[in-house]
Amino acid sequence: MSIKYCCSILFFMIGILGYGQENQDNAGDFQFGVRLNQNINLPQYEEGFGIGVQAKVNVLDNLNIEIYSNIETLDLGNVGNLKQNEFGFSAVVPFLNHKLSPFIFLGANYSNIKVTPVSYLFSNRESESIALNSFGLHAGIGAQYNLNDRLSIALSYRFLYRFDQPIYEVQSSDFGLYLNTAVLPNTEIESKDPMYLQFSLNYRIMKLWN
Amino acid sequence: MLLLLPSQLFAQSEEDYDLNVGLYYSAGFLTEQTQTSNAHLSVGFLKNKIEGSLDLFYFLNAQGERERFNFNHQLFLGANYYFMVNKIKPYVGVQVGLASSESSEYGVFNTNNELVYESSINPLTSFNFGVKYAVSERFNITFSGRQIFGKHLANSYSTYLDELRFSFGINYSIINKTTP
Repeated sequence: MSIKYCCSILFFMIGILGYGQENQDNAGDFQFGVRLNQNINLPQYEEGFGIGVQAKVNVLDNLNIEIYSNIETLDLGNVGNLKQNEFGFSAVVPFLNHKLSPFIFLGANYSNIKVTPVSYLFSNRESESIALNSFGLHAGIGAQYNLNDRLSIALSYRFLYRFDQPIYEVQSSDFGLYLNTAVLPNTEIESKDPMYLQFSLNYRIMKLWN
Repeated sequence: MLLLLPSQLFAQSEEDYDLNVGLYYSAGFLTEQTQTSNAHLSVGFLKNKIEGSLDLFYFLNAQGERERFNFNHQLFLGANYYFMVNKIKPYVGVQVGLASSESSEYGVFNTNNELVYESSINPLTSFNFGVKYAVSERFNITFSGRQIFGKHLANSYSTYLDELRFSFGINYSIINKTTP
């Protein structure tokens, strides 16, 4: 998975954009959808992506509240893996209430993160797994396109700041990579804050109020 | 052209919608000359050429040089776009999903000296295409394909879940509201 992969999704959807009907988001709309997340700020040896679901309520014509749940897995250089379950909410402010609508969003999230070293046939490293509950804030920009009166797609960029990060280090030596999950707390480790490119599909299910 | 001529018999207007279920046999192709067999169940809600779709694949078996998994069941949710909703209904789509899988290659001995293969749940994406052919007002013969991307990550080495998969079967419209 890479940024190229996300771009291919975009190109795929561009091909069907011309067939949508003019439509606008209105207060009271309830939408449900799915999302694909690609962290574009990963170290070179890490790869993976996440998926999720979201529910969105248009509180006002120009303010939406979104709650979401993501599951993401990362392969840490084939010497370990990271699994993250994330729950959060965002306040989404669209600039234009048109068929193509740019937006900004701001929110908070909770993540349960587990880092597990790879075990080998006669070397079980399961006990070296570490887990962490982490709270964070996120913000981003994006654009939504209404394909018809029900379905919309959105592409967004999300910066996520976590108050706590799991402490682990993928160490490189002549023998290859090694995942160290017993790093001392004061050790300086280069960590990167996640930056997600996010593609989502939303389906307008019902109008909650007029 | 001959195939398309009777298409207006089953034409769908913007107010129409269709709730359908499908049951298919699915064959998957992996690298190293390995094939999988799956049972495939789908549920779709089609309106205005856009279909919200839920697909469940139940892993039956794998054969070939590298079978990889003891099981690899998958669930997808997403949308399909239909180029036309007539007697012939070609579509493309994109879905996200989850795989519940267990490696048959990379096990680890536990403290009781038993070889254990850990199962895990991992995210997937899928790019879909297909065509439905209406043999009656409610029944469609369906042929579809999808390219799946993902990675099985458990307690041992990772394994790609990438697979090209084809499904063939019958689709039935449970609720088919067409404007008279």
